[in-house]
Amino acid sequence: MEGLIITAFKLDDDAVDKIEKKFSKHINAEVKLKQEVDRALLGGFIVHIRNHMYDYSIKRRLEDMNKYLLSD
Amino acid sequence: MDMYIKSISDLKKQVDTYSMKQVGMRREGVVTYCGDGIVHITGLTECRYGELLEFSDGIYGIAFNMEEDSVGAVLLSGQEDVYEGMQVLGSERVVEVPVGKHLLGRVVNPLGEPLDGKGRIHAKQKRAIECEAPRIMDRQKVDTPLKTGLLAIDSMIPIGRGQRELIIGDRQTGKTAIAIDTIINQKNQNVVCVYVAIGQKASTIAQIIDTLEKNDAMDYSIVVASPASDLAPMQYIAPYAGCAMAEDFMHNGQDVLIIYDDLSKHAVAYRTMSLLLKRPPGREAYPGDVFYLHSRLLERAAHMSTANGGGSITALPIAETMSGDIAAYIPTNLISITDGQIFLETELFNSGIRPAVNVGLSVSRVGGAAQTKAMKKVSGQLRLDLAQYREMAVFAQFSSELDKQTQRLLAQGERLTQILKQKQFSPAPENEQVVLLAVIQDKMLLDIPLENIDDFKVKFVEHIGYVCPDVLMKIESKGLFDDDMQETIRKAAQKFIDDYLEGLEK
Repeated sequence: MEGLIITAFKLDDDAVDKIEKKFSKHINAEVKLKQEVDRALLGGFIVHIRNHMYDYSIKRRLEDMNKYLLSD
Repeated sequence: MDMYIKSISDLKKQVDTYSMKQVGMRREGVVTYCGDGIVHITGLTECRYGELLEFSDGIYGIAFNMEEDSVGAVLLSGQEDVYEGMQVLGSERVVEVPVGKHLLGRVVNPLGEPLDGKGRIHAKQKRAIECEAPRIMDRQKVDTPLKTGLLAIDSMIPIGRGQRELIIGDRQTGKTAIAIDTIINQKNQNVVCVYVAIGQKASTIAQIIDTLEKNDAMDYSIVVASPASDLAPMQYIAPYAGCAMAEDFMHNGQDVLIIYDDLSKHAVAYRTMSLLLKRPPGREAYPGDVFYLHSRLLERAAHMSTANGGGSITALPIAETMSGDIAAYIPTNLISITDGQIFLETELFNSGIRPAVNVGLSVSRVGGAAQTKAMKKVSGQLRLDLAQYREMAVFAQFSSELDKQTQRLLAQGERLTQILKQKQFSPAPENEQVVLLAVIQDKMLLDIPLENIDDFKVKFVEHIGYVCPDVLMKIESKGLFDDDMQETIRKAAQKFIDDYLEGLEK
């Protein structure tokens, strides 16, 4: 199963390996992640895999906070 | 200040308890085709029918066609910003709108976003726009009148709370005017009003809002507006959104009046959408489910049983006909769905009979049960009188010599027609209507010249309010008009008429 991992900074292979293992376990299939860098994420990472998006980026968490503060 | 502190402490708690598990996963897809407000998406597995889809930058769409390996969706706005290859996220929820009393006095779009520049709507609750109609056992029969304030309608085509009454007629026959008058008459009646404008000119909607504001009717009203410039899907969801807002009040035991202006344009919007989605066209190119489109909407109008709070939604859908053709597709559908119709005619309108109600073709199938005893007593004869008059009026055109009885019949009919005329934005309370009808039923106005009827009407109502306020009070509070009261009115009227005629001679 091919996937994509987007991070703010380039990850070393060790870290990618760890994440791949976690996801392989989660979706019950061998996962291979391609790396991509997007500074706009600020931190954390986003994984796209099999029509699903797992967003663990700082950008989104800030957006969440923004939404929360603006809501009642 | 308090709120501010609360939000900071609240925020700290949020930060402390923030866990990665909250992030969760989201289903995503990619746009493979877009055009005419229609988008095809691949990916997006397990998409639900009617699910709200999020494109970037606050653009939303609704999933409508589920195919084997793609999803057909319609855009609610921003079609020029969607491109092929764009990411789409599933939202796991259907389209919802904010509901509750914070919406009162506001003008919103079908997504519940404010259009009136009065700031954010602090609604705590949301409700799905599509929702199953109340079940049979949760309902009770219609038994309370919804007063329109229009004599012609309240007396002959009475509407009850929880009823669905179609207002149908050509363009420029006063359909919207009846609806707006009804909203204005709900002041202090504890009825929430929702006005849904579908595919109308923005200038017309602005005018209506202005009218409502001037008559202090916005305080208890919500306007859901989807002007002609909106994309078809936005117009399509407008009545359902309005209905969801109304339902929240109904389930809280309130009475609600909702106006769909108009469902012909709604059907056209749905036709546009369906054809673009390549659904097969049927009669007049409408899709096969255009009946269900309106029936599921109007079935949501109901009078809830006492155990369920006793609230109600009264629906006044409006339909536009082309040159009086009520046998067209959408009008016949709506006539068969609703509990009666008010049929307006151009000819009547142009000859000065306003509201231009065609009494012969207008009916109310359940409203009679909701009429008060007082109104029932004085309005029973009306329809027959008018029918006889119209029949005779046609006949009388050919012969100049008429017997006494026919002349009386014609004179009575002319006066009745005149009394039923009513200016816009001047709803009459029920007790005044009853007194007027009582007098006309007793054929007491035959001596008054036709051109003086309008003047007489105003002065007479004022006079009665002066000399028999107790009778008026009793009609209002008890809905009764017994023989004693009728006799009092009869005497007062006779005296007033004699004085009035004397005044005319001088």
